[in-house]
Amino acid sequence: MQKWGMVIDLDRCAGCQTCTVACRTENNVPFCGDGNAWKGRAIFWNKVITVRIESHGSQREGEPSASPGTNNHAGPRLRFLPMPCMHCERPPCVLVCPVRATTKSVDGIVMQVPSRCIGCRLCQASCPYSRRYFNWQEVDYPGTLKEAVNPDVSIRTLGVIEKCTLCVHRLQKAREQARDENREIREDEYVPACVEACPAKARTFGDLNNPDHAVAKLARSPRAFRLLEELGTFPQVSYLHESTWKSESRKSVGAEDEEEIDG
Amino acid sequence: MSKWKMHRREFLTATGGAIALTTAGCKALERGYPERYSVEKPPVPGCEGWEQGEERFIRTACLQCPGGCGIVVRVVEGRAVSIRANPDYPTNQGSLCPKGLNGLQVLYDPDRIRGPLKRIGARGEGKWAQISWDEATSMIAGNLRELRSAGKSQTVAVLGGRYRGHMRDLFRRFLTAYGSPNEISNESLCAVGTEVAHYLSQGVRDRLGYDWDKTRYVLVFGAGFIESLLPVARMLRVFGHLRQGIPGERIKIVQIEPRYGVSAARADEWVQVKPGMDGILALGFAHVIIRDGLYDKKFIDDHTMGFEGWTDASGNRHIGFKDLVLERYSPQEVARIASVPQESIERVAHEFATHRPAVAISGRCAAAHTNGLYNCLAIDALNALVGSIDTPGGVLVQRYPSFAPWPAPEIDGIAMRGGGQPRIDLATEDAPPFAESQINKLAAQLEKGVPYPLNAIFFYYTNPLFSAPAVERLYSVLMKVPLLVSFSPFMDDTTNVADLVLPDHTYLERWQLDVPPASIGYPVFSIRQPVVEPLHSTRSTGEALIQIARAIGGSVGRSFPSDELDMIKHMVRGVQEGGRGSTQEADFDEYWKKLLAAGGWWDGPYSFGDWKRVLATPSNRYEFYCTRLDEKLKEIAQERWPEQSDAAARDALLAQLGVNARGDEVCLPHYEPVRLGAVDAAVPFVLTSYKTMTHAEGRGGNQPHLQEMFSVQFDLCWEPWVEIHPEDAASLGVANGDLVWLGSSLGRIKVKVLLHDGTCRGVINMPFEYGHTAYGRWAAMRGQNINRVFGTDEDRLVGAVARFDIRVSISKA
Amino acid sequence: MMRRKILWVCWCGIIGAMGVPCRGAGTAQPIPFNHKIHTVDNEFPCDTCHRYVFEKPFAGLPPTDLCIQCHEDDITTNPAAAPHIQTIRRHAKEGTEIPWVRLYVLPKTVYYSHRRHAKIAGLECSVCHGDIGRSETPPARPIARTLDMDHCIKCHVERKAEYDCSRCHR
Repeated sequence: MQKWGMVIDLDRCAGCQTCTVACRTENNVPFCGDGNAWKGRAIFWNKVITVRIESHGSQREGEPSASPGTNNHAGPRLRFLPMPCMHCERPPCVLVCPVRATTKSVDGIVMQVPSRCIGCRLCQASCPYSRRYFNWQEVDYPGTLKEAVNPDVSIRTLGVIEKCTLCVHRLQKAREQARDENREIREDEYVPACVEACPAKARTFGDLNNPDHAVAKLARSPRAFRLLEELGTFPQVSYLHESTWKSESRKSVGAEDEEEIDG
Repeated sequence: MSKWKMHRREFLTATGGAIALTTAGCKALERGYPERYSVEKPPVPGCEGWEQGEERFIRTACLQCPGGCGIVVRVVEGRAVSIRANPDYPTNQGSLCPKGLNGLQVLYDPDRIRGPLKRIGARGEGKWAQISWDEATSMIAGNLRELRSAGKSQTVAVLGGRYRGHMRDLFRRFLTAYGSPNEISNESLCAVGTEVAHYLSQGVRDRLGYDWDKTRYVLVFGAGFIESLLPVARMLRVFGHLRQGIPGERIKIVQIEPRYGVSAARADEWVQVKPGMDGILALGFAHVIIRDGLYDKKFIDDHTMGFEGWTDASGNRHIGFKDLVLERYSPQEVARIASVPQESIERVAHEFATHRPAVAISGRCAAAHTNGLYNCLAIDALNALVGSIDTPGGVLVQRYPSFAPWPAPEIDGIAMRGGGQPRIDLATEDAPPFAESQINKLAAQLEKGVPYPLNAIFFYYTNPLFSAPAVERLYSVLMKVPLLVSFSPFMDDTTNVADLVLPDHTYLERWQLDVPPASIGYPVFSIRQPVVEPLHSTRSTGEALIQIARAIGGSVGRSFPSDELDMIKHMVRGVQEGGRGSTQEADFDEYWKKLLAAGGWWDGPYSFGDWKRVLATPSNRYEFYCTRLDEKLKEIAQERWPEQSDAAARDALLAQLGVNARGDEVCLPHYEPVRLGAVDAAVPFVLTSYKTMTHAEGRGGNQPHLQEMFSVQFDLCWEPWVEIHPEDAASLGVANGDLVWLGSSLGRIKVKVLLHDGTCRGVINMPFEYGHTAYGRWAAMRGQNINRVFGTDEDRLVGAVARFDIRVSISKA
Repeated sequence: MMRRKILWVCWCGIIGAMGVPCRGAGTAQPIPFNHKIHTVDNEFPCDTCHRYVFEKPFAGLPPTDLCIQCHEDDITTNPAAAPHIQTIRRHAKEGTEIPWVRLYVLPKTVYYSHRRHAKIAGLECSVCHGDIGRSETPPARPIARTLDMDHCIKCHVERKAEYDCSRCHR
């Protein structure tokens, strides 16, 4: 059985939010308008969050110590972290759901069945990555805007939780096609919208159990890390550290990563 | 415990309610859940003809920004449901930016104009009558015919913005046949300084392409490397490539910009520079490179002119770039003026020169200053110093597809006379030498009524009442123009005050040629084709214009013998007959079909070493000493001061142009201080604006998804703000979230404060997007327009608005 | 006040739960289509008219083009059917579709694929659709009430098919 997972290369990520829009259009995620957005109720299955690193201990190689107003090491620095659902191997949200509206699928997707959800928001409270969103308002696509709705994905109503499903509707189609042709799913056959859309090719997706898949190799790379690993959630989404530039003369120095990014 | 008691009446109400709910519940169960957005057919026009579940993937070109990337639209049962990148299109190569992916919110915007409109209330009141296309066409044609027969054909102007493919030629053809020189584009609002710099040094008035695959060091001066350098999707792909795409190597990106934004955060190093100091910093780098002998001697010897001192034909001795730079721009001096640490200058210059091929890019933030041209010239000179011109990994000069020209339009006496009149925007006594179009002068000219008033203005894909500087002044003069016609599909700020609206299709509904801006070097074009049937009673502007011309009749009508699609096909035949590129086919219909299936045509790869084309200057070399600038100054000086001696006339001209340098230095990259005036306690801040990824063009305000993710940096959306350095804010006594008045000599706007330590002291930044007075439910009346305070000065050499050179005051509201 | 509200809601819930099994008024088709004549008497397999049943998620309702292929000629002997044949021909002439009404409407949260069941798993149509093939008039509501999840799960358990949420819900 597969274990679908994703690796996001933070060095490649430009913080452009293409994944966010790709996800929103693919999964019919509604916009909520200014009022609710200002209350923090905007829904992003996949959000690029900004991490502000207040003080930076070690300087990067080849760069001077902080001199006022010079480079980004003097003051705080910003780093961008794209956050889909982590699809934990031991998801806390699944444990707390009283109605089994959210389950861990056999191939590793943390599923949310909105028609089953009673809106108690326990899962939202239990998710250490805040990757679950509550529908605070009825979806309202005025006029012709609703024509752009993706027919493959249902629209959630007021009062239920929704979250990233790794574009499970694409898996359903790909799986059916593969089974019809009596073969396994190919690596590029099923990728979520965010992976397909990423212009900087920062995201890699595939079966973590299949050693031939690029994602399985990358997830074991020395650059790989997972968010909040200490909680024992075992996320199936891993990140690759940023690396640093080495000048020509120092290239022989082995690549090692000096910085940690924690959410 | 009366609370627990339920009265009989309440019981009945509850039961009744429950029964009602039950019935509704049954209904919901019967019909599924939730059914409000069922995708059963229709009501979209054209979707009756589709079978259930039928799915097509149609290749076309994006137009969410001027990048023109290749896209594939997934259409299910006649509805466009998603947009992806065209994996084969050479500029974006399967990448797309968030704007491009969000195109369906343009197509299906509920606030689109549904058919031709005629104003019935006062201007801007928003009262419209729906009219037919025939009525609209004959109204405009009647008006234009009258003006033409009265000999006032030159008083008709077209204000155009995002022309694509054949559209600019079509409008020019119309104006030529009709008899007006006034095709006014919005280029002067943009980074035209970079293009003129390339023209003077390389002889190519265009943006430049870059061969990113082999570049090893990138120096970005004031351009949003990630957010707004065109085509954005290509740049994002390149970013990933530079980071991890080359085994064993990671390319360094240095962002030189006053503000710490997304590009600076994602660069390896951010060098903070004061606004308008990009040029002197580049000259500081040049000093280090020359001093330490790190420049490309072979390229300098073979392909440049003016590096060393030289003697001209008449025996006059001229100073060389090398000597000027060595003498004037030592790192100590540059560090003092630009307040950039000397150590950074030395180190970055060394890295730049030793990691070749390296490129330096100039952008809007370097160009939109009074010294914009000289900033860009200095930055370009860095590329020449390290020999990055037309080499793998360096700067490319774009080639374009060879479209077949249309047969010449018919020009009668009126057209000849009208077309020969001076352009209204350039008919000023101090017209910038290198300006081709100056929308920012329009207000002043209309106010004075010289050389003539305008009687009719067409607005095509531009919204000057939002995007032009000193916008209130423009508003008041436009109100006096008798006929304003807008072709916009949206009720934007300008369309809102128009007399007639002839709505265009959106880019997903029309036929159009599309040539992307300079990027990959080799020729490429795509055909924008309709992916769905037009939603409303709109008409492609090209077709509308042809109908107007025909209704005017006479020689104007005869200049447009065929319809728009035929004119497009005529142009494409030129490429077909060339017999080159990705698609080759003898039969045109077959060729056309293949083009549509591929999403475009391209003819790669780029061929290097065509020096005549790449360095099209008078000397056929890269000119540190810009002879064209010298000649132009001479020509204009004699024209304007014919009675004075050459030297005196030149001095007078330089004074008029606001250039401080004299002698040879004028034609060499050098440092000109920005014209900001002395530090003034009343207006202590310098205002700059910037673009975010989701709204780089200021046209995304009516797309709610983009509004909701406006700034990834601050996680703010749906309203604007102004960024102030915390120490400045403390001295003003304002805190995060306070409302302040931001005022300049032009006006003032009210805006929220955001403390941002990534800005220079004394410089405040504001994102560009908000402040529409119209433009649909999601854009209108959100914040106030920054253009109400912007725009007093310009780069007087190229005519570009010096947006960033304005002093403003801030006071608590 | 709060408690009263709670009580009210509970009461509604109870009444609502009692009413759940009730169904709507049913569906009327534009033509009283006789399945029996087609499938039993003439032995057409189901995918003659429901063309996509082995290829796509949906089985498809027959378009006018398909009906008219046979009914162009006067093959119908039953005089009672004559006006309906005329209806088909009128639609064909006007180039419009017969407005068939879908009887089985799945909730949008479910991905159901005919191909997956009819082709890959090789199920008979009657497993879910009952004896619709033998019906002489179109039923007003599904003959076999197999549209609720209990039926799906029961069948999946019986046949040892997967019943993971992610396989069907979306």
